[in-house]
Amino acid sequence: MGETGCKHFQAYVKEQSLDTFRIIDAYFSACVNKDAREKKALSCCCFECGSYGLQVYACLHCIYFGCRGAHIATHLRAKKHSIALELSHGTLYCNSCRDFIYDTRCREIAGVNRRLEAKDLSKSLSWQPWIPTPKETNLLLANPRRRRIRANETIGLRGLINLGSTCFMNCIVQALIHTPLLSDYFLSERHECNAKSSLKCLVCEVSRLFQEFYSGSRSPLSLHRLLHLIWNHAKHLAGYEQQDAHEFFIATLDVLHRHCIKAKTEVESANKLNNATSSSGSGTGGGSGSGGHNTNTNTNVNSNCPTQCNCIIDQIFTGMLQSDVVCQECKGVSTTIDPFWDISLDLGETAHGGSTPKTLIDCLERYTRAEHLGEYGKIKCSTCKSYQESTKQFSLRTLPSVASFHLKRFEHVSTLIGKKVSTFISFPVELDMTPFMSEKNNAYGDFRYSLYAVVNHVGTIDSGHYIAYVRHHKDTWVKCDDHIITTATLKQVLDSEGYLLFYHKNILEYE
Amino acid sequence: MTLTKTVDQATILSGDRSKLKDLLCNRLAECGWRDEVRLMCRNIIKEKGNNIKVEQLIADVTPRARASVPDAVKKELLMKIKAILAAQEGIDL
Amino acid sequence: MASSSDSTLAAANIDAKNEKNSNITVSGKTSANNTKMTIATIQKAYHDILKDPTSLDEAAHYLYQSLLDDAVVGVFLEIHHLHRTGNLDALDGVPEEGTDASYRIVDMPNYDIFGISSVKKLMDCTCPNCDRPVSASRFAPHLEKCMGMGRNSSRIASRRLATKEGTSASSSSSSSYLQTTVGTDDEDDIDWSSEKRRKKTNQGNRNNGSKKNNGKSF
Repeated sequence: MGETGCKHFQAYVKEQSLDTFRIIDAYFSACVNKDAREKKALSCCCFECGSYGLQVYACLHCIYFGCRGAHIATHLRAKKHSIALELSHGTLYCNSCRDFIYDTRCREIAGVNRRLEAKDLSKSLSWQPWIPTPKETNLLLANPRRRRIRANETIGLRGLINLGSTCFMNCIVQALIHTPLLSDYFLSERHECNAKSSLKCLVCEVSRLFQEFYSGSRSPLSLHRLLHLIWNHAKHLAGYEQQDAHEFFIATLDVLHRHCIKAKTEVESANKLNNATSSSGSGTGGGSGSGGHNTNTNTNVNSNCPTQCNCIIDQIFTGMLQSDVVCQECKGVSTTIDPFWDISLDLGETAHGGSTPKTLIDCLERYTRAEHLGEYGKIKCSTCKSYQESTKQFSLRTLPSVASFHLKRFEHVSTLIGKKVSTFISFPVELDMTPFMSEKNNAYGDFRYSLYAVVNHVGTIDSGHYIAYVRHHKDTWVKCDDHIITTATLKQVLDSEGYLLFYHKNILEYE
Repeated sequence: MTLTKTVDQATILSGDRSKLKDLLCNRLAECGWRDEVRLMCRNIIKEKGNNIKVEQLIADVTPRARASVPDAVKKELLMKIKAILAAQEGIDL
Repeated sequence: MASSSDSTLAAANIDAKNEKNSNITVSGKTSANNTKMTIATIQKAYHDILKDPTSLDEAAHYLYQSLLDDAVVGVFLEIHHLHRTGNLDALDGVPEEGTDASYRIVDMPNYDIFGISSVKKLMDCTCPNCDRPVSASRFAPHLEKCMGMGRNSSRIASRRLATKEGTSASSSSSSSYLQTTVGTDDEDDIDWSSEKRRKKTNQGNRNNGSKKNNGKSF
């Protein structure tokens, strides 16, 4: 059903339909293209005072623009026109009601126009506030008690029992649970899965984990079901013994990604089946049986094309790495772009001497530095049609919402002999990724990140233990040592060795 | 032509107005200002919502909301806007 | 998106505006040319403003102020809409009856944040593979044997059960683990958690600092 404005608006729509609204919104509110922008810049000013500012309203009955307040009100009252459109936010205003009104169909039209605007300007869609559906409103009313997450309260924190050298898993789970975008996704129940697959679905298991973490219960959790699921779906990790937390992190993301796709295709085929049966069986009136109208309007998930995957894991963790190879002979550049979930950083000495890195920024600078591949690393140049010496340089084409860094502290000389690099690498709590981007001149871009989780390996390569620091609240950190959760200071976090570092983008962009 | 009129028209023409709106909105949301102002609006509406004109409600909130932008954020936004405008002229600030 | 009838409305508007500004000469020129001239005028004036540091400053301040006011209206509209649909109260829910002290974080030495002293927990869980109760701190070694991955395990049936679920993430099978796993079936009673061996497989290691993901399948 949706919102229908007020009775004055309904009378207006009967008379004039929504066409005028659509045009005015497209040209003077959302500006869907260059022509619209020109028309707005030249003609959309207050007929009283000539102001072009942000407070202009357009009458929807006739051609008239007026500033908010007396200028538009006078016109509306004089001409007995009720409905106007506030142009800055595209909101309907009824002068008879002296109030803003809301109509679902208009909101849909406005949505279309804003997508056109975003496309035309090559920008992401502006943030829109969440509007609860009637179903959600009822849920909220039926469940009026609210659980709040506070800096000095334990809601959102739980210990995790060590099941026998499983501290690596405990740390990764703590980091994931404290990833804001992930917790938003799961706590708003965005994952759909049919009941049969639920027990075999890792995404459902993580969803259950979130419920546990926010339940208010204080006893530690056991991740035995999660371990079983991971061992089933990432065979290379199965087997009891201490694992590498980084490997476990990547494997977990991979299984979650696969299960997201699986659940989505199952839901989509179930929907198709439902629509098919309902359209063939319906003999009742109305348009309910119109074949092919798929209620599932999500974008396609093409699991063969990595750049198109829309699952929550890819939305949060996937960035694009650009690799530029420059032929030293003809200076021609060959560019490839590949997806990544994390960035592994070398800590040792560079090939051409120079100092070893001391900070995360040093590591990133080295990572994105142009590297001369030398005479033994000649690459075939398609322009020169021969093997030439070249330089190779990495840069970040697009950044993920969560940037995870892996400091390569474990070196293996052979399968039996290895050593751990324990040098202190200092890392910041605020990190600006702009210098490492492929495109550095993006005036509107904001590439700042905040640290929110650190996984540390304590001990030697043969006998060690993992602990994690996570950011419980803006200025509150806790230390997670299996089932023992204690308070921690930012200084403790920043002074720690650091093996896996998790940063969250401050400003998010929407598509 | 007055400065404000020219700036308004030019930024609409180039599409920068829309992008600058987003820039400001995102930064203000990220620093918590939006949440603060939400609280202000909510209190005002709950107090006087049904009896008072929308005009008045907006006029009541605006000065307090303006004042509650953290200084650091205000400075940062001003600098960023200036840099974006200057870049269009080819000036490197 | 704009059809010819759409642009009439907008075009009519421009003509109305042009009539108001009587500095546009009435001649054989089309309104399109007039538009071009005015756009150029605007852009020239704008560039002049940007060139001068004082006016650039003024322009930036003006934009900041008006966009800020606009943002306030935006927040107001959001709350106003929630209020109109009754969602404001729905979102609020019922107020909490005083702060529940039981959730307060404890910050004392020898105690964790839940106020429990740091004692090793003994818990049981049910193995999802064989449905038997198992001590939690020995779950991992149990699961390994239960799923037939232990070196000396002869549970081929449970292995078949395990491999039916899901696909292998990689070609390197658990054989690399068979080489290095220490211990026999007799060691069920030993507490493995005291012996923490760290092993990293070479699987998926690349030179140049492994930019691509290990084991990520596309």
